[in-house]
Amino acid sequence: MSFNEKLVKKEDIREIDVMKEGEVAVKEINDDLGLAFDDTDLKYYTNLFKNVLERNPTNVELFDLAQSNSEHSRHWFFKGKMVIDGVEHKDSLIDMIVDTQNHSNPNNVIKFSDNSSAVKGYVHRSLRPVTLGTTSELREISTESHLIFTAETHNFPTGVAPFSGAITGTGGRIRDVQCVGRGGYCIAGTAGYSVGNLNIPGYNLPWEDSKYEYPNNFAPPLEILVEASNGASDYGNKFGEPLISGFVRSFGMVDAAGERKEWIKPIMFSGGIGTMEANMTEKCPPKKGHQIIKIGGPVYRIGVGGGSASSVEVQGDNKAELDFGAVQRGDAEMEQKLNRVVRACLELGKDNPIVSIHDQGAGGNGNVLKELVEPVGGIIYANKFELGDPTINVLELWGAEYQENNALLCEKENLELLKNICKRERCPINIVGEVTGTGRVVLAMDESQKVVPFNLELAHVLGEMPQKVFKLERKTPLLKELTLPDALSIYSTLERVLRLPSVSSKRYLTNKVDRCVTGLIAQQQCVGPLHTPLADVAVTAISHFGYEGIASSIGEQPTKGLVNTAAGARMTVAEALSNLVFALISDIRDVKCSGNWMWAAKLPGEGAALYDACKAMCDIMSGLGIAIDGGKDSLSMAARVGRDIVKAPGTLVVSTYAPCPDVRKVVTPDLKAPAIGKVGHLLFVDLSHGYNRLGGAAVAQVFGQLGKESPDVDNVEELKNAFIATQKLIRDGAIQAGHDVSDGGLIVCLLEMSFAGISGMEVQIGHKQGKTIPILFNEEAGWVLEVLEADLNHCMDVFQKHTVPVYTIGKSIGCGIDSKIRISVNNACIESTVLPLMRMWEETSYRLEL
Amino acid sequence: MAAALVRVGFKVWDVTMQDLLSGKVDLAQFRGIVFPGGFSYADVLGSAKGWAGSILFNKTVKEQFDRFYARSDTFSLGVCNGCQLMAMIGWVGELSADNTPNIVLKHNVSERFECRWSTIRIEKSPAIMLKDMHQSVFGVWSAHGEGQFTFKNSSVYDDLVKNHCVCLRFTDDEGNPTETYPMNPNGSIAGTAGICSKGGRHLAMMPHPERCDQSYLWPYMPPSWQHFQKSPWEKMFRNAYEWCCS
Repeated sequence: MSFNEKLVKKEDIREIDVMKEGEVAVKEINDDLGLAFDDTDLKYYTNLFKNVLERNPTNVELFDLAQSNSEHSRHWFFKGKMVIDGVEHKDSLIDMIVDTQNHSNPNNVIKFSDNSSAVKGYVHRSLRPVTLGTTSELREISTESHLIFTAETHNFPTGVAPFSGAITGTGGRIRDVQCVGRGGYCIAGTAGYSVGNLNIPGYNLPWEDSKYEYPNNFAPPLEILVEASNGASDYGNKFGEPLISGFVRSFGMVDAAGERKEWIKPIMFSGGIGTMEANMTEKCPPKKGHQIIKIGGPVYRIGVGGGSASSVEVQGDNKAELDFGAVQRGDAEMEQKLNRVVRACLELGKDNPIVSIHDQGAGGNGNVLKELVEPVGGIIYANKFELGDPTINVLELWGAEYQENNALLCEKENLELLKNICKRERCPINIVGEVTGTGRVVLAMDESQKVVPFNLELAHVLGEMPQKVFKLERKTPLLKELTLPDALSIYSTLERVLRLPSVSSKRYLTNKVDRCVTGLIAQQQCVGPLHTPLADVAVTAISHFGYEGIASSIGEQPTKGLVNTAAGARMTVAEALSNLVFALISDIRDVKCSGNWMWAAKLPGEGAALYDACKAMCDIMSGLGIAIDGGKDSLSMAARVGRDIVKAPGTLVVSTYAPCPDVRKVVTPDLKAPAIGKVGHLLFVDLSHGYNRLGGAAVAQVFGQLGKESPDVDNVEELKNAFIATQKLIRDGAIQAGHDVSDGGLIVCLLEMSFAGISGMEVQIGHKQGKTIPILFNEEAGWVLEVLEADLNHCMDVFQKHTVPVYTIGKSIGCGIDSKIRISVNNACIESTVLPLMRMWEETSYRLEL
Repeated sequence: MAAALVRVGFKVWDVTMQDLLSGKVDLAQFRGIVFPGGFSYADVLGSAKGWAGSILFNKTVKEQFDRFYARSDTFSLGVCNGCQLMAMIGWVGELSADNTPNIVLKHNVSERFECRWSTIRIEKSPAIMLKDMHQSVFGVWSAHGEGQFTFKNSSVYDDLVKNHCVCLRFTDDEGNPTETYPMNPNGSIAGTAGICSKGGRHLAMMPHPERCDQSYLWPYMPPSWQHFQKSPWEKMFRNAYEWCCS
């Protein structure tokens, strides 16, 4: 059955008269199509066509150049020359980041180059079809797999249309896992959301100011948090990828200098964990005669110009229709078909027909096909693409980031094999062109090649372009000492802190997302008898027939970064590690990280702040022996609100991943001794060096302030030793429960252990000098462990041997929701039971589920 | 799912609907068929509807399914989307002349996708896969948006109960069947979580035993169980294997 809809295609291929009009002509199309060219770009392209190529470009070519060379695709800032306060820095940001590799184990098999990164994994048994690409018995075989990780953000589309923005964020990231090397296997995902003040109707959070204005080109923060997480969850649920770790942060505040900082433009973060065949890590180089293949969904007019639209410095400076044009739709079923095709190809072992593969992302066909044939070139025929919408013109075909599509190369003799696999999985396949070896990428309307909308040498598009220079100035933040209300009780402080979204229960997120599909998940978000969302680390096995796996954790401490950008970066790394510590890993020096930067770096003061944060992150990582192996940046993290520009707090998200030799060796936060009729000892691994700094802490935020001094890591070696010692104890099976001190401080860490285990506790903190609230609510690095009497001496010995400061601060005692909680510091004390405090901690989540 | 079956001794084959429709494979060679599901056909017309349609409305495939079902030496298991499918094709419950099933899995009462570690009770039933497991109460992963068992009329449910075909029920903390959310994630009557055919060879269940057939996959296990080497859910797959061998 077919319909003749009598739809008319509006073909619009035109020359831009650069030869006659010069830069003015480029500028005109820049404004018209929202290409985000800066002055350097305008001059560069005018010169390229006028003086080098001596011809007029087509609109398709300029549109393509804008996508391919956008900040989004080329990372000019991270690769640029930094001149800060007149001082030129030798290393670019990326140079510094790459250097962390020199201080860590060289276990990366892929780093900084592909769609995902990978570390050396394990030989294990796996189920594979006996006859390939068709109905077949599955049998166990032995294979070697490497462990992969990737993370990216989808902030701009999520801000404009939260549900579909987050859907396509998840989808795009899943394809990054699929398209590593010559194909990758997905296992699990992670997700994070940073949004503005929630202003939940009927639920007053006293630190939120309901009078703040929000622009109408972004969805409000509450809608973003609910709908974006719905979208990310829905896509993963339908695709069959469990989501097993994440973070949430909500922040909006006018700082001491009178400047409003808020995630009006939100962060939607998506990370992916998977594996790949050890002999499929390297894509083969393109060779003349290779077929250029597109697999996945047909072409739709969606996501046109996403690369450039998300690269403007301040969101809201584009025409609204262009912003919406860059938003996309997702189809998880098509993604699953794609996934099955890639998997079937990989299962062919050395006969894998995929020579090379890339996912279609920002910049659409233009970007992915050039990437695929670089540097030898190829010819592509526009009429070979299956169109979902017959009115698509060639500019849209070339630029649209329609979802669920990958591009790959394969030998001509493997075409039938590939087509059969696609047929079995019902996945559309288009053979759209061929590798030529001319060094040019040519897009012809059809095989007659009469009309050629795009014809450029790759060297002119993707080749070396002059390094951009960024002249930056440091701006010292104006900070005010934190002033808390007089006679503030512990209980009334908890009344606020336990409701802050970054502290409170995340049950509203975990109930709606599949956390168990695959049958490989050893640790997801929820722990204890009440399935309480408090796990520190995510762990998956890599096979159904063994216990080797991958451990992964997240750190992000942007509010501390507002107080001290370098300390914020160090605390981010410390948080990631103090989460990861609870799963047994092969070696701290095997830990690799994705560093994702969401920062309004091009606005005054922010570029230098990012530089300082990056330097601090690299230094502490080098000290710890861990390294970055990939990441992304999103540098337009500001929104226009009326006449003001509201910057999002500069954010670094560090995701760690590491080989886990035994997925059963994971320690969870729920207190366990009381449930077996015993009393547990609580050990506090305290890395604070006696400090109780509150700058950027939850307790500061809930009183509408930032404070002056941020928590920091004062002794990197000590953090490393604490990590190593704790790992040893986990290997020994000496630890019952453990949880890191993070948002909310020591008291929240303790209470969360109580909630998760429905256990009471008696705690007395006597080793610290200072006032009660700072001692309990500071967020200096550290973690709390529950150990049994029989293991106590061994634990203390191990920590002492590693010169790690550790204190016994109390006992887990009493089982059940009415168990007594007593925490005292100096002469102050809180006495309560599990239930009322847990209620406080759960209420924000409950309100978000209504 | 395949791994859970291989682990207990089965030879497992991966069969797609495309394989069946194109005649590449015949169900005659198999002893058991497992419908693992997972948003087949994107559930666009309703859960498992597209999947069921491709079975019911293709003559050859329908005949293969009918023959397989009629054999006395076969068994089947449907989990989640597969459970919805088994109701839709009448492998549990029945179809009317115009293919309308008398059991339909509808949207959860919460109108949301629910992923929870639920507690379940295994009832006395003829289900071969649940042999010797009745009266057990323990945890299971559950993850679905459309898991509410609904019946054409109350006598359909009454008949199931009378024939001991309601073999799995969500329970409260005391181990009693419950309709209370969220202990019962979908609102099914009396906690109904799985049903079997009268003869017990065919089992359709919403929760996922294959996602917790090894003990490390349990997000929580009572302290007194932690010395057990195996997950009780493995027993279910072993039962199927032993039934085939006996």
